[in-house]
Amino acid sequence: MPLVAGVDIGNSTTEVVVARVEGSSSPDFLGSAIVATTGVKGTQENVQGVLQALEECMRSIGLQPRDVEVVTLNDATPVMADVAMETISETIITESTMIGHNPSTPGGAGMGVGKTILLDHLDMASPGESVIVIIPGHHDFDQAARAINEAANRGIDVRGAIVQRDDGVLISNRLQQVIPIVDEVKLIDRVPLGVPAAVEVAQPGRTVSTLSNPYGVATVFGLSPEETRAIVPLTRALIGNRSAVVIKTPAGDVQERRIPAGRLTLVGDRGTAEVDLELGADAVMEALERVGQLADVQGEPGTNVGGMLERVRAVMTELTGLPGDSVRIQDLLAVDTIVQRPVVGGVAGEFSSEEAVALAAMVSSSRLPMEQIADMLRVELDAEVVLGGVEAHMALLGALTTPGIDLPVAILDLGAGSTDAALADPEGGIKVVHLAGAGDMVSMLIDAELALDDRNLAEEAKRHPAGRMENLFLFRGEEGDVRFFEEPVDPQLFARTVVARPEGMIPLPGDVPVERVRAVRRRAKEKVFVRNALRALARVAPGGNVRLLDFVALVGGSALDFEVPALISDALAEYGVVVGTANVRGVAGPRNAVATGLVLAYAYQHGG
Amino acid sequence: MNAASRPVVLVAVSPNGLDQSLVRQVLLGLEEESVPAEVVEWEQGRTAEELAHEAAARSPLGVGVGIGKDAWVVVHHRRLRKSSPLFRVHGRTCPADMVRDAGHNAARLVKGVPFKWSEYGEPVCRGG
Repeated sequence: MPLVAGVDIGNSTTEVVVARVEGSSSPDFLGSAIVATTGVKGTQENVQGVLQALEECMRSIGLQPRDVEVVTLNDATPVMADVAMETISETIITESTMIGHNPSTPGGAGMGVGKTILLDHLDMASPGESVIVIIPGHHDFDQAARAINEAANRGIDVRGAIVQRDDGVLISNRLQQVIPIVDEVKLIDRVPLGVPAAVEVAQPGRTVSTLSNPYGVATVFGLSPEETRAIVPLTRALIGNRSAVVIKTPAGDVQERRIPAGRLTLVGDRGTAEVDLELGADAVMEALERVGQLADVQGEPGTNVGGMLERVRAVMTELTGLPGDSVRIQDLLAVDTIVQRPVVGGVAGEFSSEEAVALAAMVSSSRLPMEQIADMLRVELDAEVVLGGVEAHMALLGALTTPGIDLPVAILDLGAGSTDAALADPEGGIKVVHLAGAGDMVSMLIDAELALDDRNLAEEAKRHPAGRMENLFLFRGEEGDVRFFEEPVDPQLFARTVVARPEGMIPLPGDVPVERVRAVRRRAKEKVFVRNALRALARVAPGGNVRLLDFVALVGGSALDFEVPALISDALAEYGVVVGTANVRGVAGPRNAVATGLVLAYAYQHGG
Repeated sequence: MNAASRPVVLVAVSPNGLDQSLVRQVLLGLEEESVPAEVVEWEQGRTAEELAHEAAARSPLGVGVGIGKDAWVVVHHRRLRKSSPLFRVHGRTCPADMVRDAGHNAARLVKGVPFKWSEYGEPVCRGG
């Protein structure tokens, strides 16, 4: 009665299940465990995680890891996935020609145009002159207001002010007339002096209208049609701001750089296609369909996409130990995205939205590293170690232990690195496909679109709904749900948009509305999981027709996501396909399918 | 003892021996946020915390600031326990800007706007 352990090393978790396998009867499953994968999937660092998971599992059933007689290991090597992202446009504002930000309390309101002048130099201005006053941080608001009032009394036409400190309202309240005042401009010394500038502050609850309009700016500064075209990216970056400043520099050096995104060459079994990345992700995915089963992808050298693919290849080379030129990309998922980038040349920490394309790539490699992992486990455990079958096939076997499931059924294995599908027909035939792009790509998209610059935070924002702490005691979730707290929350959370993690809320940086967090998160999941679900099922469905499938069972870590199963279910309902989340062995939910499948496969082969 | 009937943040101060510049900074912070405030002098022998807690209880907005003779500036909310105010700044050891930030944050508590945090990661300097 050998004790058999099924071990599944995944991109993010390592799962094991232990069973007693006896003759022809079905295996008697004793216990399971899950730990974080140590190192990158398919490398020798994985051994440590495997031992840890085995130890945990065996201890839970009162045994030692060395009591295991057979270890059957997933063939983790066929696919490795990596993600990369690159912008295809970038707004560059040279010569610091604009300030567009949302100080919480700007002063005054309206629109003013004049020449920039330092507060200290106001006495040198001549009566009748229109000026915009620059007030560096060493000036007190009282002093600033007095100087402006004195200048106004001398007949100088003060039209607006740019202030370094947060005292726009204090200055405004002490002036004889209302002028627009933009405050909290950190890098105020970058504002050029003696040049025409326009300051706009919108009424509360409104956003700037003149400086976010190219013709508005053209009217203010008397620009030619060519110059007007040149300032379009600048005005676009100002849309949605409560206050803004535009300063005309002699050269008018505002430009949007279109980075040559480059061309992708897709080589497949039905031909070769070239596609310009600038056409967007959909064009790439259409070309991918045309070329059939992908054999490799090349990026135009010296371009963004060339660099991006080189990085993917370098990572794969390191992981697989294969020479770089034999790393072949076997699947690609391209997704359009928007990234928030700091504006080059901005002076108040401005961001602008730039178009970008994210790519997930999948590479197949040799079995070598897996053999090494097996060797090491053999020594550590003094057990027989065998390499089991293809992951998706094993996942299918595991999923079939779900109560109420029957053939024919397709499974979708939603992991961290890849989305796999398998279809079993009643005659015992099995079709399997691995596709690039899964949970890791979703995290990358959320990270970029919300400008978090923190992958762990993006991971949390992916896993949990968002909400807002309305005050120190009241939380309102994105679905309108309300929670009261007995004790006041951390002041850091007050009035902030937060990720509503059950273990404790995490504030999101910046002033991002809850609705936007929800929209970005759901769109990222749709772009990756819904798209890949349809792609994967079309590959395994009879005649490539998803409508001919009846039932789909979801397995894998991302099937535990709080909204991915519903998003996929909604999308597949249009094809008349019923979607359910698997419950492996009636106890493990969508987890442990591959590990369970490995033990079952072993039992079938070695059973009586 | 007077209580405000207008919607204001109450700033309760000790009547004697008080550093008036602290009151001024707190009021400036509130003004910059455009939240109305009213200064009241209450009897001697009370700590900034006690003043702040009572001010919060009497403020129609539920927010109070207490400034004691010992130069502590405390921001309180009606629903917080007296012994755990929202912010404490020591006016003698902390820069004036941070005292002003206490005014900002009292106002932001009313407005439901995230607090102002100093470069030290704290909303205000705790000092002393």
